[in-house]
Amino acid sequence: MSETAVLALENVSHAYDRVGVIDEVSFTVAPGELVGLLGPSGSGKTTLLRLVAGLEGLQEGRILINGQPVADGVVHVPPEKRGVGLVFQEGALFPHLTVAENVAFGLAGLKGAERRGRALEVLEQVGMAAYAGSYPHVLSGGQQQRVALARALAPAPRLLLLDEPFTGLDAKLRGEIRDETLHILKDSGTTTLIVTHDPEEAMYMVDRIVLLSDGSIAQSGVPEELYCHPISTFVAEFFSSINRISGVVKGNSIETPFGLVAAGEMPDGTEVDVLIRPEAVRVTPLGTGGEGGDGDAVEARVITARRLRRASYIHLCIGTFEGEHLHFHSRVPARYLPRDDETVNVRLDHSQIFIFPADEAR
Amino acid sequence: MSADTLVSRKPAGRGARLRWLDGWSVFTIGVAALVSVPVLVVLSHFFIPAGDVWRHLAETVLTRYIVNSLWLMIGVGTGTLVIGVATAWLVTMCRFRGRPTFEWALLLPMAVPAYVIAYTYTGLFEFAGPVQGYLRDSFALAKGDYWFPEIRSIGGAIAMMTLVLYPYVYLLSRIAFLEQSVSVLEVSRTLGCNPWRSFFSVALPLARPGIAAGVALALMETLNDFGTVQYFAVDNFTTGIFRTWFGMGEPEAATQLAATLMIFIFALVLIERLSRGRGRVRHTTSRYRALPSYQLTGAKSAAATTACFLPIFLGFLLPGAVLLDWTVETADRMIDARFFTYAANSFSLAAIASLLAVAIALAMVYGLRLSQQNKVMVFAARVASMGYAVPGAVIAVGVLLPFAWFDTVLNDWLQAVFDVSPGLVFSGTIFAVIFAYLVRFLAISLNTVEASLDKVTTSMDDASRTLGRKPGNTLLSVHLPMIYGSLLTAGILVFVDVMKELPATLFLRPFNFDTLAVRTYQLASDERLADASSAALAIVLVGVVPVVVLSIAIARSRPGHGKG
Repeated sequence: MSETAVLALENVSHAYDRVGVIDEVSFTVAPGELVGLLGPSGSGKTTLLRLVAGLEGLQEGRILINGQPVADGVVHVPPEKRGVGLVFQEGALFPHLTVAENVAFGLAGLKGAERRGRALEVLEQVGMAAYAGSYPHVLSGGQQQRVALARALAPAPRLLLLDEPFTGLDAKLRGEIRDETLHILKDSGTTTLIVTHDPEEAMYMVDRIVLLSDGSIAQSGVPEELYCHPISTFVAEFFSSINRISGVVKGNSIETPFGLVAAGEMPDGTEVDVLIRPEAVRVTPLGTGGEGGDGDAVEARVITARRLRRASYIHLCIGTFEGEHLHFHSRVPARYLPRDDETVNVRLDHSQIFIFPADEAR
Repeated sequence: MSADTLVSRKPAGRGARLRWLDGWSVFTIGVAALVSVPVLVVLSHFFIPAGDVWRHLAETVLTRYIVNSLWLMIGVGTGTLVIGVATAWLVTMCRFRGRPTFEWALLLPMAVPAYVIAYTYTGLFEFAGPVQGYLRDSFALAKGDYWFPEIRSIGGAIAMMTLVLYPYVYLLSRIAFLEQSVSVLEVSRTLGCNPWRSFFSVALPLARPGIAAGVALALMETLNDFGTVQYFAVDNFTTGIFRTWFGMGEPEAATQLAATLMIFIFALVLIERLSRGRGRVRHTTSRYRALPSYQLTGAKSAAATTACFLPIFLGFLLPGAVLLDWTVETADRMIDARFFTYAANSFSLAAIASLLAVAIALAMVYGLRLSQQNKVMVFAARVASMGYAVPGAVIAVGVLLPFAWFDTVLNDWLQAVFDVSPGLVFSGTIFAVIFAYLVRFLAISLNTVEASLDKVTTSMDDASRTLGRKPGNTLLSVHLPMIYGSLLTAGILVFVDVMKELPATLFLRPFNFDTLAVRTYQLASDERLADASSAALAIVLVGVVPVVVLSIAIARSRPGHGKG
């Protein structure tokens, strides 16, 4: 390792009385990096965050900050000595203190004017300096969240932890604050671990994603890699709703309603799930040659089509396949919106098709 | 990170266990252990072979104690049930003249200790008192010519206690009625129940857990009473403990009496716990809308007004007026330097006890929070709050024995080693009195502090810790400012209960150290009822404070009812 990781988890395992089991989780966060801890609720991401902050006692494994163990079989450094900042979903501002006092709360090392100066400086950074003398209850949700960020940043933590920090905000505000936060974190070069259940938020915010499933890492890497090269059905399905077809490998390919798709290395007779992202289902009007996509076009009937913001979402029915009416979703650029019951051409973009051995659970 | 940052070293594995084994948890468990000493000492006497004195007591007076206690419980239980539930229902569900005032005024009798109302009514209704005197003068009667109920009887004791204890039932059944689902009541009406039938077939069964808990509390206070039964010569356990210990000089037998009394207490605690436990899961679907009110008019309204006014009049206004009258009458003689000494004694005991109770409760509840409700800690807190059910006389006995033993051991040891004898260190000192108060009233502060600390989200703790503050600092700079008001409430509640407390104070106080309560008791015992009034009135006046605090809290507690 050329640079010491700011945060390193080594084989961390943890079990509660009731829920949230963490199983052998290891990952690192490099200096200045934004890492997203992503996963459905109950996957253990908040538990991991609390273990890193020292709010939870570690049971097994090791956690290092700047190369120094802060929790292992013997050591437990308390949260107040770990030098980490924490921002909560609900802000958790101290209601009895003003905005400036809240931000200055973690600056116990500084005195008087210096302390107030630093608090105002950080409030300036998040655009809340005008509210220094206000109490939290007069602030809107978004403003509270900005102050909470300032409070966590003020002591210049070695590592900033964000726990679903935008979840409480409405959609429009969430977008704005997310954007502001990204810039503040990048500008200040703050090393950050952010917990979220929202894949879009993770892809927007972070350099690298650690995707959790049931307490262990399903896949980690840059967002693009997880989206374009998922290594399991879980990962592929987590980032968007996806069309799924069951099939069996025969002669290196699998028969689907769209024709044959290549099965890669998988041996004949393997039961597989073929996962097709909606944007890989290319829909064009009947009679046109169609653009993009691989293989032959098949005909499909439009059940209904809806225009979303930047895309059209089309519900399709493709004849019958092995005796079943099949229902597919397609996402195409919004300039095209077919009528209900129209018959259209459909082709697949084979680069966005993923094939995994069938889920044993199903 | 250097070695000094390591706060704890743990054995291999099991991380979650280590976090509560710190100063906070040691404190919590330590307090629980200390506070449970008196009860354990008393209970241990179950297993000590009964001596001759005990056999004598068992043969002669024990049956009477049990019968009297049972009669008191039946009488006070029925009385408080009827008055408490009826007034709570009227005030909560009906609209009639004076209702907003009755809502809080019905709590006023709580300010009057049972022994004070007993002395007052005796002065009023005894043979030489103004009422009988007026009757004799008006109708030219002489002694023996007419029948008048004897106030100093078990019936009188039941009446006195009912008048000042019904607010417990009123309070808890009112909360139960307020929390009931409006829809359920309305459904019962649409299904053809008239108001009376929906009360008996729907509202009352739903509120039963709250009502049962209220009656259980009233009965605990009944068993705790010493002043009334002593004065009315209704022999029961508390008077028996007092007489056996101080009159006969038989601590062992007195403690065995106390242990027997604990059986009654355990039964009541069980009832209260069970009914509260069930009450919690009941109204899961309640919708808080303004409760439907039955508008009462004419005779019905007048009847409701009377029904609510009578308990307030008999339980507070009448005795209060009598006390005031007597106080004015005797002020020249009775309100002197000595009176202020008693007041100062009462005040300082109450102040010390309430400060300690709140501080200890805060530390315990916070320790519990830090331990993330660790089971051992929860149990410890539960133990520490058992004292509220234990009669003051029992606690006094449980404090006297170990303290006396400890003093003896200490003296022997100092005598042997240093050849000095410090005399009594713990027993017969303020320390013993305060300790007994803490045993009895810690539950009040624990409950209040816990309820308010629960409202502070744990992310406040987490935020403060990650911003570099230690747990103690977090408590002082985050929690304390946020729950300051509730701490004050807890302090007031303990303060007033200490002011009113009689048996433990009487048993344990240092020689010649009298409080207002003790003074009231002594003067009344000497049949100087009017002279006792100034001290009694002072206690009642202080007792009104928490009634005000409580009624404000209740008014705010109902969602949708706004403030005040």
